[in-house]
Amino acid sequence: MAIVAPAFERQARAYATAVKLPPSRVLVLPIGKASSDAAESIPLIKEAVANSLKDLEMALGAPVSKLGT
Amino acid sequence: MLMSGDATYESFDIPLKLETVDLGDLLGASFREVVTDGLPVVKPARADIAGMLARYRGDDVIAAIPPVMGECTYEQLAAMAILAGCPASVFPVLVAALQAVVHDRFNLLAVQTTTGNVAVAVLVSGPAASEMGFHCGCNGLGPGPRANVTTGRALRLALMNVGGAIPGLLDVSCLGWPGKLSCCAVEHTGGSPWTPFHTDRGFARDATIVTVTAAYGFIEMADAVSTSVEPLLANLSGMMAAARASGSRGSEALVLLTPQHAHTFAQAGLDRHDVQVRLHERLANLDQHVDGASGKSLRMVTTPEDVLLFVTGGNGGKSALVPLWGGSHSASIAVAK
Repeated sequence: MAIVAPAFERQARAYATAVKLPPSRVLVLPIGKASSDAAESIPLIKEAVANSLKDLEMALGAPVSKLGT
Repeated sequence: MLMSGDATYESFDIPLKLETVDLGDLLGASFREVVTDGLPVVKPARADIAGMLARYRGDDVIAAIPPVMGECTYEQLAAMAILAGCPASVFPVLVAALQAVVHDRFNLLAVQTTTGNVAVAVLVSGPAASEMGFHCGCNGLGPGPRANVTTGRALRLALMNVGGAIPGLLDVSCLGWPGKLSCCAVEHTGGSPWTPFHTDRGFARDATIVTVTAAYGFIEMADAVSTSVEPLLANLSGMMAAARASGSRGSEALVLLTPQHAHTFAQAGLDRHDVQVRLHERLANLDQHVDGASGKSLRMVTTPEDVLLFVTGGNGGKSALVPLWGGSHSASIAVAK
């Protein structure tokens, strides 16, 4: 699952295509429109999701990009 | 590497280790790991969920909860209620609370994902509250009253597990605060000299409603001696102006008034609207905070009605200001009979 703000949607969908993730696994959060402090929260959310991905990869013993290939 | 204004810095955050409980055998694979709020939970049995759902169809969806837009069914909410320790009697209020937080006015997406320290404060008003076991007297916000405390807690568990606002992941609140564990107050209609809160919100007198607000703190107003309204108005408006400087703007303010303070106002001939107007007038003179970026003067509230006056609590002169987060507005929903 990739969770992104609207500004990063295009890159996220390209990434999802590259790693053969179904489009439904890319979740776009309209945070930038909704929240006055999105500039602060979005980088933190991205970092947390990236760290979560690292944990997943450690548990799997392989990069997520290798899954399903 | 993160940015703050023009500065960049390494992340200082520490990964948050969360406790989980497995409900997969009850609710399916997506609930294999239900995150707790850090307190022990009551693991539900199938019979418990069935008991909570006596009036509902378990598979029906109540609402989609942001940020992940998880569709919360009655069955899932019942599971959260049991995890939180709710008695079955409060479930209709919990359902209404969930319906209220997804109202557009409340802007739940922002509430769930802000770096601010924002809780959902649930206000219950109406004649059915006491029948359901809710408590409007001393320590109403806790500790003690099971219905109040567990309702707020169950809502938080649903926001986390169905809505995806997992602390340290999509909930990036800098500090959090205990109100995020649970925050539920109940109107003391018997102790209030005024018309009920819910009728002032446009609901029928015999209705029971839930109002949700985005609360980011609690500031006690201690005044056990004033017998006239001016000191109370001065204290409250001064606190509101100070809280405004801390970040709340263009939204609302919640004042939890003890019956003693409400009666002081009433004995001077002021009803709820009169107090709202008087506070708004005072704020206009006090609230001079200027936004550094735009240079515009910012107000904590823009109309008298933005000051929510809610009578609750036990005997004594200790009311409280609850600053409400500027990105959200209160929303009310009637509890289904």
